[in-house]
Amino acid sequence: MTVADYENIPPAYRRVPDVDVRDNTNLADRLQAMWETSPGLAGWFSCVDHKEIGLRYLVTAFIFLFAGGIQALIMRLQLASPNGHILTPEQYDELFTMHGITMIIWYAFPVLSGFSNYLFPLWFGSRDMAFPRLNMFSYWVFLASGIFLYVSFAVGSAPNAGWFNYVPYASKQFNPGINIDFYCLAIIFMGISTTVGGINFIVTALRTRCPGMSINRWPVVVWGTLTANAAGLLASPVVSLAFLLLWLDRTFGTQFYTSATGEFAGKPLLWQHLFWMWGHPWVYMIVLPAQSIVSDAIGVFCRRPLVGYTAVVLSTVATMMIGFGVWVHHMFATGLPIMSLSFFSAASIMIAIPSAVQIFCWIATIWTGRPIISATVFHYIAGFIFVFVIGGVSGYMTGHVPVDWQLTDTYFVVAHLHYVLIGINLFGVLVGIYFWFPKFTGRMLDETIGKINFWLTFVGFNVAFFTMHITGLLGMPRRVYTYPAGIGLSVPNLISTIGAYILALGIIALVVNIFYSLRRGALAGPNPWDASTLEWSVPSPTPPYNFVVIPSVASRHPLWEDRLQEGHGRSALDRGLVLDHHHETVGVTALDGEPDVILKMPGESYMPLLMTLCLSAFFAGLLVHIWPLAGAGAALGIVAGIAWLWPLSEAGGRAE
Amino acid sequence: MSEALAGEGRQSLPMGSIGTSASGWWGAWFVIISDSMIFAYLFFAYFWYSIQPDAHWVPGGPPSFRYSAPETVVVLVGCGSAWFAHRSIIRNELMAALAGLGATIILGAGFIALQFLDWFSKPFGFASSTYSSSYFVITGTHLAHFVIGLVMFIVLFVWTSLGYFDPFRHVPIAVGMLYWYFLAAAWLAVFFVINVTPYFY
Repeated sequence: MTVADYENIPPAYRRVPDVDVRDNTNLADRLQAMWETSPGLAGWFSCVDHKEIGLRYLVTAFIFLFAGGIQALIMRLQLASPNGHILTPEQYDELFTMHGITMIIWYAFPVLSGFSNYLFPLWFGSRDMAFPRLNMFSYWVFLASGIFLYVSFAVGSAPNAGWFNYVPYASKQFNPGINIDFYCLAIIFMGISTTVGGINFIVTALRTRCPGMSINRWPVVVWGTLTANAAGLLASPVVSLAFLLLWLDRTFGTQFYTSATGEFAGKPLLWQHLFWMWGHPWVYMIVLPAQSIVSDAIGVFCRRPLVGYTAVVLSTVATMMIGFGVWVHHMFATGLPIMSLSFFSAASIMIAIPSAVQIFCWIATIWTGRPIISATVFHYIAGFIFVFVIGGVSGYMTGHVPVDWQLTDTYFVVAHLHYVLIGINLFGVLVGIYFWFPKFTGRMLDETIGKINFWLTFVGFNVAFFTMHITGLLGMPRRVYTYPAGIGLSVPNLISTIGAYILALGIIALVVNIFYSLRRGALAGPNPWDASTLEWSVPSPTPPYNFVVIPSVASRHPLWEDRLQEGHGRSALDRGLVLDHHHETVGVTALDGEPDVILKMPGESYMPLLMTLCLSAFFAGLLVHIWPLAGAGAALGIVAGIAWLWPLSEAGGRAE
Repeated sequence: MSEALAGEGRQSLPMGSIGTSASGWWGAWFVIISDSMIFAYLFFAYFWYSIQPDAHWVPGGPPSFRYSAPETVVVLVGCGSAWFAHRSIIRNELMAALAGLGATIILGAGFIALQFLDWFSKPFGFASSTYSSSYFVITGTHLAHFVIGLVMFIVLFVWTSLGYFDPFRHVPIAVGMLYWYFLAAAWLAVFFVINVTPYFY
């Protein structure tokens, strides 16, 4: 808006915001009353507090992690010895399919959204996300779609065609049960959560920040989250579409993936294109935010700013962009033209460059800093870099067409993908848990149990999965429920099983640590790690309004300015805008972070939950082919949407 | 610098939804970006099928313009009426805004009716062939978006007649206009892919 526009705005629609000091307890009390979630069940169902939502995301994602982990442990038991018969082949199919789906879609991305939901407004010096109700909606849909998926277990028809669900095996002809329909509809349902969550992160980052928070002052993890969510907006539609077409094939006999010959039949190969056009960007979506958690934590635990902030940010974005052009490396063995294979092989290998830039920046930070090696967080950072390199190298190997032809569909690929997903996602998440737990709860996680947690996880993980490289090179195919004795596979499989159970003990140690520390952990105070970013300037746990006064920042490390002596200005944390008429925060210009508008936020609402229930009815109707139920769900959903969007005076949406 | 940021010598700031500075306007843009990708991927699938060596594309020759040409006209005229509604509310001309919204509602309903006529005039069904399945999913996806757009304009009409909007608080109308432009752009792309590209094979 230009100055002339501002002057035309009638006085009723503008005001000069008050300024006060942070220590004003009267103001803090008023904000507390205004922002606090209502007590009891009513508050639980209608809450829109981003911190509450973030914690629910984290806890729910971890429950899915445990579910997927238990499935994996049962499979490892089956594979511990040759000719195992704990599971039937059909049960094994359902377990590895649900394991993959759960971990990749219902754990790995939502857990990162959990951190970002809790921390986005704190990193930005703001009071909430741009769309608080949409935020709650994205959580409810994540939960409802996960329950929808797990109902398939309860009725004994879990998806059974692998998480990438190739046709023709997943088509009606060869898979007539309801198993695949659960997966089709659950992933479309979950796509709604990913999309609205992504929009919320992006608009929050563009708009609701404190004055002075220009884009070059964002923590790296903001860039990671934003990159992942922008990619989600572009990639999620294709997986929803792929599964919609499959569901139409299975339900109405359309001809998209049908494999019969004849002039009107479809093409199964299109499935692989559409699936991996989403699938590979998704892989980067679930690792880049975790990498950037490490980029931020590493500076704190090496007592210096991250080396190469700009290089790390640009490589994060570059990885994602190249990541949209590598999907065919999952299809090297499908008989595509050599020209196509060469292009996608080159693009896949090129990913090594931005990944290496980040690794060298981390190593340089450790090298030139004063690392606190004894801290559990630092253990996890070091473990993360170690497994990232191994996972990166095996990815570089399989990016080559001839190597891939030899290794595809063997345990080598299983080893690679677990090094990447556990290594770069789970280890990054554990860095985040140990780093921010004090902010979430006000208490420190225990360091002794933390070391036990780390060593069990790290050793168990490497024993289980490094061995799988060898199992794969020996020729064991993935997704087969057993193997014969006497062909050299018995020992490596037993070792992998032992490793998997050690890893599980490590995760149990984490759970023990969390419950122990919630009660007995040392009190954290606002900034236990002496860290540099805004979330550490508020009390732990964070009060409902986040900041008493909106801070203004003048550098990337507002809490370290006195010792870094960079630049000219100083951030103002103890004095700033008050904004205490209803739920308010300041909106800024997208790039420079200049104050632009006082945004008015909606308060608690049942609409997100209602909308989710309508959608659940809609998808349930589609699943069991009760069309009136689906129709009613859709119609009520539209009514709920209208009620949700109704302009409110208190949110500054109506003419006065 | 920090003193100025902390509020010394501060200016007055607009409160709440003022023009397109409301968060909803920004959110709408990203909804549209994500939504556009659905069409991009649908077209990818359509053209991927069309270049397969054994493809029969398009069976029966290029589709007729009988309904799709008037649909194109309707959707473009609707851009004008949606724009007029937005311009009128900025000028504080309430009746003109209502007229613009009402005209857009009628055009939207007309488009939907034409689309159904087009569907019923086809000699093939949903499951007849890969082409017919693709045709109905592409046009059906667009039609579903159009139904949402129609509901949106009906709601905007109600809100406007309740006096909720004025020259500053009007972002829902701006979002409605933006969404209609998206519907029009998506339709032009669908029209080009379905009706025009078969002439180039």
